[in-house]
Amino acid sequence: MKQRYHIKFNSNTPSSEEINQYKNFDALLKSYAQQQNRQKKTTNLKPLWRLGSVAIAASLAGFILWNQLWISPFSESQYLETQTNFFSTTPFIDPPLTHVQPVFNQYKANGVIGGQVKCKDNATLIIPESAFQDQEGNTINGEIDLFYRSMYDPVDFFLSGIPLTYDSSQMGYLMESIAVIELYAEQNGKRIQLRDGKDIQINWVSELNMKSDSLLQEYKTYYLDQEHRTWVYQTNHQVDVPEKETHFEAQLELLKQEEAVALQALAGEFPRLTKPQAPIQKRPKVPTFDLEGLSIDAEYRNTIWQLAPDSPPLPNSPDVEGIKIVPLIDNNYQITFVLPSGNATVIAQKVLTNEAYAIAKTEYEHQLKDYEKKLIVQDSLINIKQQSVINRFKERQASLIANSTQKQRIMNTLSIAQLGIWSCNRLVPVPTTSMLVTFQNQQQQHYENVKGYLIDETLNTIQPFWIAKNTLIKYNSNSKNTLIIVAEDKRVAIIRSDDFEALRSETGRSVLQLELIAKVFNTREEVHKAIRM
Amino acid sequence: MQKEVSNKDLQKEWEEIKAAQFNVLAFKVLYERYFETVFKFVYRRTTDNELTNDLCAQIFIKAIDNIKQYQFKGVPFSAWLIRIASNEVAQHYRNTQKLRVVSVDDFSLMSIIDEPLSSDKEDWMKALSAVLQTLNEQDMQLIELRFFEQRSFKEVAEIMQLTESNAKVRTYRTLQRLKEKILLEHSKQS
Repeated sequence: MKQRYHIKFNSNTPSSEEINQYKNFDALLKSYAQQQNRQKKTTNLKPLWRLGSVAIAASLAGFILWNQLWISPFSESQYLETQTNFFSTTPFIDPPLTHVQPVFNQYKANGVIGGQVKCKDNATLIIPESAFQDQEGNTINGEIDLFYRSMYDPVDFFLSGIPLTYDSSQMGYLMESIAVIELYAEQNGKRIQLRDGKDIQINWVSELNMKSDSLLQEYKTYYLDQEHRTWVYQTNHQVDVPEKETHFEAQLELLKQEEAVALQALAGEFPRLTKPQAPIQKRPKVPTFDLEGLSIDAEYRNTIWQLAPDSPPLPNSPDVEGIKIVPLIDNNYQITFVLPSGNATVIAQKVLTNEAYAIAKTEYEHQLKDYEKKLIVQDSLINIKQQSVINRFKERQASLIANSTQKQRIMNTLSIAQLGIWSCNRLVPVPTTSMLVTFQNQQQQHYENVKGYLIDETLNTIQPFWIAKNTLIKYNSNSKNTLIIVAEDKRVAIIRSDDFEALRSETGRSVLQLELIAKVFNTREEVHKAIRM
Repeated sequence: MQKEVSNKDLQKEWEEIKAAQFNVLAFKVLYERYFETVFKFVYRRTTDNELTNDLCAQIFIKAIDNIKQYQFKGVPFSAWLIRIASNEVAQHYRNTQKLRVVSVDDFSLMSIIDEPLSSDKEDWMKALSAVLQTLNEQDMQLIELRFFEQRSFKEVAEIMQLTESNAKVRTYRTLQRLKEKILLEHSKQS
C-alpha cells in the first residue's frame, strides 16, 4: 500500500510554557516588514521593465519622457539612505517656520515649597518641595521661572519641528501623540535642573479618538534625548477615563441588537426540517411485545416493541388499567403502564422484522437522501439571506462609525524626572502604501532637496520626508492626508487632504501639483487656517 | 475538546479584528490569544518544534497581510487562522515532498472505533494506521479536525470552506467507511 502519511501515536505535545518561548510579536512584525519590502522591490521593478520595453518601441516623445523620469531605475533602499543622510545634515529639532512657533507660557513657582501651577491650557503642574538644583548641584531656593508649552495636533507638531518618529529595532514607527510637552526652568535667567527623585507631575484632560478601549493601553511616555537624537522610552502612559461617553456605543449596541433580531427573524422564516428516523431491526434473542387490545393511539397499533437495552423489565401484572406512550429521541419511547399496584414505566423501541425492515430501510435511505438535499438547499438559502442582512448592517455600522467623532475625554498624568521634551503616544508603523512622484507648484516650479511633511489627520501623525527628483511617499490609504513642503525661501506649498485623495487615486500619475500659498504666515492660527484642519 | 465561544465574545473579537484591519499593531492581541492554538495545530502535523515555529511565523505574516479581507461569519477568528495554517502546512509538504505527519492519540482512536482500548490496543493501532493511509487529504483533514481535534462542525466547515451540512455529511460518510475498513483490517490482524 502506498504510504501517504507518517502516522504517529501518542506523540508528546509541547507545554504552554514551551510554546510561549516561541511567541515574539516584535520579531513577527520585523519579518512582516522585511517581506513587505522584498515584495515591493520585486513589484516595483516589473512595471519599469514593462514600461521600458514599451517606451523603446514607442515614439520619440515617449522615449524622452522615459529618459527624464526613469533615467536610472528607482532604488528604494538608495532613496531611503540618501534621505537619512539628508536628515542628518539638518538640525534634529528643525522648526520649518522659525518665526511661527507654539508659544511657551511662563509661570512663577517657589523652589523651596513647590506647589501647584495652573497653566493656560488647563494642565496642572504639581511641583515637589526643593525640587531644583543648579549646574553645580546646589539646591535652589527662592522663586523660579517655569517655561511650559503643550502641543496636541499635527499642525503644532509640524511648527515645533520636533521629530515624531521612532526607530525601534530597525523598524521605523510614527508617533501617534496625545501630547508633546516641553518644560524648562530658570532662576535669574540661568537654566536649572530637577533633582533626582523630585519628579514633576503634569495632569491634563484631552480628547482622544477612541476606536477601541484596548488602544489606551498602547500609549507610552518617551523623553527626547536631544544629544543622541533619539526618543527614549520611559513607562506606560497613565490615563484615566473619567466618564464614558456612551452615546456612540449605545447606538452601536442598538444596531447590533437590531441585527441579531433580523437574523433571528430570518431563521424563523424557514421551517425546521425533520430528519427521518432510521428503522430498527428486531434484535435476536430479545423478547418482543405488542400493546394490542389496550387503549392506544392508532399510530401505535400493529407495532412490535422491544425493550431498550437499559430499560426496566416489563411489569408482570396482567391487569393493565391504562397506558401512556411518550416518544423520546432516537426511536425510543417511554411506555407507562397504569396498574392497580401503581405505575410501571419502561423504555421501548419500535422494531421491524426481516422483510418489513428491508422495505423500511430502503424507504429510509430515500428519505435521508431527500432530507440531506433539502438541508443543503435550505442552508445555502439561509446563508445568502444572512449574508445580505449582515452586509446591510455592516454598511449601517460603517456609516455610524464614519459619522461619529468617537471622541473620549481622558485624564492624563505624566510624571517627568527631567526637564525637556516629552511625548505621550503610541507607535504606529510607517504606512506601506507608496507612490513615486515629482512635486511642482501651480507656477510649474519643481521642488527638490527640501523637507516635506505628510500629516495623517486620522492618526494624528506627522511624517517628514526628503523631496528628491523622484520622491517616495508612504501613506495610509484609509486616512485623511495633507502634504506640506516648505521651500528654502520659507514659502509653504500644500496639497490638502481632499486633493491628495483625488490625486492618489489617479492611476499612473507621477507629478503632484501643490498650491503655493502666497501669504507669509505670522501666527499659528494662520497656518491652521491655511491647512484647514 | 474545543471551547464554546459566546456571541458576546465573538462580537468583542470582531471589534479587535477591525482594529487590527486598521492598524497592524492591534493584531498583537489576536496573536497573543491564538499563538498557542496555531502552534499546537501545526505541531500535530509536524511534531517538530523548530519547523512548527517557522511555519507559525509564515502563518501569522499571511494573516496580517490578509486581515483586511477577513469578514465576520459568526465563527471564532481561530478558524480563519487554522485555515491559513492548514494551507501553509500543505504547501510545506508539497515543497519538501515528505510524508505529512498525522498525530493520533488513544482518545482519538477510541472515538473512531467506539470501543474501549483493551489488550488488543496494538492491533487497533496497526489497523487504524493502515486504513488512514487510504484516505485522501480532504477526508484525512475532516477526520483530524472533527475526531482527533474535537472541533465543531461549524468550525470544520469554516476551515475547509464547506457548508456546515456538507461538512457533516462528508464527515459521516468518511467515518462510516473508515469504521468498516478498520473492523475488516482488525479482524485480519487478530
